[in-house]
Amino acid sequence: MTNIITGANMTEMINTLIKHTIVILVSRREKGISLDSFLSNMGFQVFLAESLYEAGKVIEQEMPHLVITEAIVSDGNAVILYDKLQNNEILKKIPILVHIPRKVRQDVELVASRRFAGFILGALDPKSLVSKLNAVIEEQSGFSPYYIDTSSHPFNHDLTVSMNGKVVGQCRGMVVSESGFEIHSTASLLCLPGDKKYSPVVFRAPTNLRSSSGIFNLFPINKVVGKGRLWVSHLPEINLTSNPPPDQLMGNKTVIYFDSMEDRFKQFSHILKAYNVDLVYAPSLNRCISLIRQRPGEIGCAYLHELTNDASGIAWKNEYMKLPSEVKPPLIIGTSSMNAKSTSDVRFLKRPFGMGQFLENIKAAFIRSGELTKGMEKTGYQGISVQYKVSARILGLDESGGIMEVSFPVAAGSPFLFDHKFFRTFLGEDTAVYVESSQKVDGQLLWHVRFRSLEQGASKSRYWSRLVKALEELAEDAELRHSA
Amino acid sequence: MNVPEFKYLLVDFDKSIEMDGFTDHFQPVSDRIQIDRICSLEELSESKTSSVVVGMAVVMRQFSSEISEVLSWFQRNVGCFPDYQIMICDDPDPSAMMNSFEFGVEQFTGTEEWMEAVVQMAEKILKDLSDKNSTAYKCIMLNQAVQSANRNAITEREKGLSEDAGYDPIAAFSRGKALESIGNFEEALKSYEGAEAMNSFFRPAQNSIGESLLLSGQPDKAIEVLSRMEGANSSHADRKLLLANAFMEKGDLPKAREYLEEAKSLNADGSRALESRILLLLAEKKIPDAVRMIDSLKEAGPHLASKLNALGVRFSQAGKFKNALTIYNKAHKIVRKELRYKVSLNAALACHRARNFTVAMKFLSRCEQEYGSSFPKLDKIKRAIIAEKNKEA
Repeated sequence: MTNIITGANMTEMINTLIKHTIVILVSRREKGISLDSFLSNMGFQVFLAESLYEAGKVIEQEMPHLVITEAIVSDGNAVILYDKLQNNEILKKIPILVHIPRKVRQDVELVASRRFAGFILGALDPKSLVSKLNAVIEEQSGFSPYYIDTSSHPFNHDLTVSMNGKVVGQCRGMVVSESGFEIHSTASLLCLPGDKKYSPVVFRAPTNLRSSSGIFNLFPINKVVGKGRLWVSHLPEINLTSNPPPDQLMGNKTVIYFDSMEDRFKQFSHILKAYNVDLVYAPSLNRCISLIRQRPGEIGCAYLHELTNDASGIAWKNEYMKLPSEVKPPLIIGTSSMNAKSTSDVRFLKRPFGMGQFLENIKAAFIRSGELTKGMEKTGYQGISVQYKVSARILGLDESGGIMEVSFPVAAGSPFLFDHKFFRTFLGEDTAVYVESSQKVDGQLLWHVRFRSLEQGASKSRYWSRLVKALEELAEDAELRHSA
Repeated sequence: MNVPEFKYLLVDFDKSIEMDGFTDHFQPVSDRIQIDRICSLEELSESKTSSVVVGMAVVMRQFSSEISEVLSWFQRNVGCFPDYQIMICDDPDPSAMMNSFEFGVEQFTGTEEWMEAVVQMAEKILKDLSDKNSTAYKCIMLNQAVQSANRNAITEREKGLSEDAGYDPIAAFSRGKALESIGNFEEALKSYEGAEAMNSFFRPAQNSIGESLLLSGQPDKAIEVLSRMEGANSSHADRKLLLANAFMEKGDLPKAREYLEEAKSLNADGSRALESRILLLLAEKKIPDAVRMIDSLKEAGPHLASKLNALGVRFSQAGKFKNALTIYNKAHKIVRKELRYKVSLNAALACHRARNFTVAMKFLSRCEQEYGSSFPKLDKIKRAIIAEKNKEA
C-alpha cells in the first residue's frame, strides 16, 4: 500500500482529491433518495439502482469504489450480488456495505455467510454511516479499489508533463502566452519553443487572464531564467490602448484596497504612490463594492488583504462576481492558505509576500484581455508555439485516471500530456489528460493532483483492463532489458 | 566526514524560531549544504569558512538596523539573489517589506511553514549551482573573487559573466559590483543600468546607479536618481548616506548634514556613516580632524578612497610631500584591497616629485604586487624614475 498520505486528516484529504463513486441498491427508489442526496452533498458521486439487474449494469459501467445495498432487494439479495461480483475478476475488488433495516435473525444469518466490507443494522444513522464509509474507504488505501501504486515505478524517473501554449509577445514587462489552462503563481515552467532557434527558458510567477478565445498567461520578463533568454526580451511589444509612458511604469491607475488595518493601508499607499498607483481605502467589503460601482472602468484592480472563508466572505465574492464585466476589475486576495488556487477572476497572493511580488501582481492586473487581443491584432505577430514542461511523479493509476505529485497546485480543467512513451502509447499520441482537483501535501511544498485520462462516458472496466495489461507488458519489457 | 561545499545561514538574533523537526526536514540536502544558525552579528562575520555561503533565511519581527546589516552583508559577501534569501515573518508591515526589497529580498514565509520553504530554497540553490556554467554559479564565483580582492580573478570572471549580463539582471548587477571594485565606475554604471532596464523593480541596481553616478563625478544625476527612490521608501539608511555624500560633492553642505542626521536617526551602519562624516570634514576643509577620524575606520569604500587619493595629490602638487605620504599611508590601511594599488601608485608619484627615487621604487614594486602585474602607467613612471636616477648618477 502506498504511504504517500498519512495522518489524521487522510480521509478528509483524499475526499478532497478524489470524488468517490458509490452505487446504492435499494428495494424501492424512494428509500434511496434521501441517502443519495445525503451522500451527494458529502461530495460522493452516487448512482441509485432498485434491482440487482440495474445495479449490475451500473457497477460494470462505473466500477464504483463502494456499493451500499439493502440485504433484501426486489429481485434478490445482497448475497447474490456478492457472488456475482466475486465471479468477475475486475469487479470482485469492490467493497459492499450491507444495510439490514429489519433486525431479524433470518436476514442477519443470510449476509453473515459472506465476507462483506461492513454492516449497518436498523435505521440509517448519518453519523454511523459516515464512520463506516470512512473505514471502508481507508481500508481501500483511501483511493479506488482499483488504485495501483506507481510511486516507485521506473516511468517516474525524470518524468515531465507538458502543456501546449503560444508565446504571442510582451506587454509592460510581461511575456504574454496563450493557452488553455491557468497556472498557479508559484509555478516554475520550463518553456520549450517549437522552433529550435529559440532557446529553452524557465518562466515563473505567472498570472492569468481569461479571454474570449482562451486564457492568457503573463510571466514577468525579469523573472525569466535561462542562458538563452535573450529572445524573450526581443518579443514584439503588444501596444495597449492605455499604454503608460515609459517613465510611468504602472500607468497612473487606481487600486481599491481593503484591509481592517488602516495603518497598513497608509504604508502601502505611500509606497505605491511612488510607482504612480493611487490606493483608495475601503474600510469594509461593502465599501469596496460601492467604490468599484462608483467609478466604473477607472479601477485598475481591487486588493483585499484578507477575505474570510466563511459565509460572509463567500457571499461577498458572489456579489463581486455578479458585477458587470465592464465594471468588475481583477481581484487580488491576500491569503494565508497554501491551497488557494488562483484563476483569472481571482488571484490569490500567499501571505506573507515580498514587495516585488506585490508590485508584479498589481502591474499584471492592469492588463486587460480585450486590450491584449486588440493589440495582438495590430502587431500581426504569429507567435511562437511552445511546450511548458514541469517535473511530476505519478503516484498511482486507477480506473479513470490517477494521482500525480507536482510542486504547485493546478487548476481543475487544465489539460496536459505525459512525456513518456508508455503514456503516449497507452493513451494515444497527443491525447491530453485533464486535472480534476489538487491538494497540498501536509508538511511539504508539494501538491497531489487528481487527473482524469478516461473520456467521459467511456467504459471504465475496458480502460482498466487495458491499463493493467499495459503495465504488465511494461514490467516484462523492463525485466527482459534487465536480464539482457 | 566531508564538509559540504555550500552553507546556508539561518539568522535568528532573538533565538525565537521553533527548531523542532528541522533536522529531519533538512536531512535530504544536509550532505550537500550545511546549515548554520547565526544569533549575532559577530557570528555572521565569522561565518565565512571553507564552505561558501549561498543562501540565507532571516527571522524578522521588525525591520531593524541589525537586519539591514545582515542583508547588506549577504549582498556584499554572496550577491544579490532574490531566490536565495527569505525572510521568516508572519505579518511583515509594508515598510519592512520595502526595506527588505531595497536589498533585493522578495521572498517571505511564515513561522508555520518556514522549514518547508527553507528546504525548498536549499534544493533550488543546489540544483542551480550543480551547473558550474550557470549564471548563479558564475555570479557567486565572481563575488568570491571580489571579496578576496583577487584582481586577475575578478577581471577573468567578470569577462566570463559579460554575456549573461546581457539578459540576466542579477548577472548585470554582479558584474557592476566587480567593475566597481576595480575602479571601473563608468562600466559599472552601464552594467547597473542594464540590470535596471531588465528589471525595473530592481532596487539594489537603482541604488547602485546612484552610487556609480556619484563615483563617476555626476552628483546632480546621482541626487536625481536617489531622491526619486526616496519617494517609495525614506527609511533606507545607506541611501541617506549616499545622498549626503552627493550633496557634499555638490558643495551643498547644509543639505548633506541634514541627510547625515537622518541616516543617524535610522541607525546607519557604523562604517559607512563614519566614512560620510570623514567626507564631510574633508568638505569642510577640517583636514586634521578628518585625518584623525580615519584611524577609527576599518575599511573605506571607493568614494572615500578617491577623495583621500585626491587629497594626497593636492598635498604632493603643493610640495607638502610629508603630508601627502601621511594621507597615503592612512588610506592604504583602510581602502579595499583591490584599490590599494592606486594609493601605492600615488605614493610613488609623490616620492618621485620629492626626488626620493629609492622609496618611489619601493612603492612602485608594492603597486605592481597589489595589481597582480605591471601596467602601462606604472611602467611609464618606473622608466621616468630610472632615467632621472641615472641622470643624477
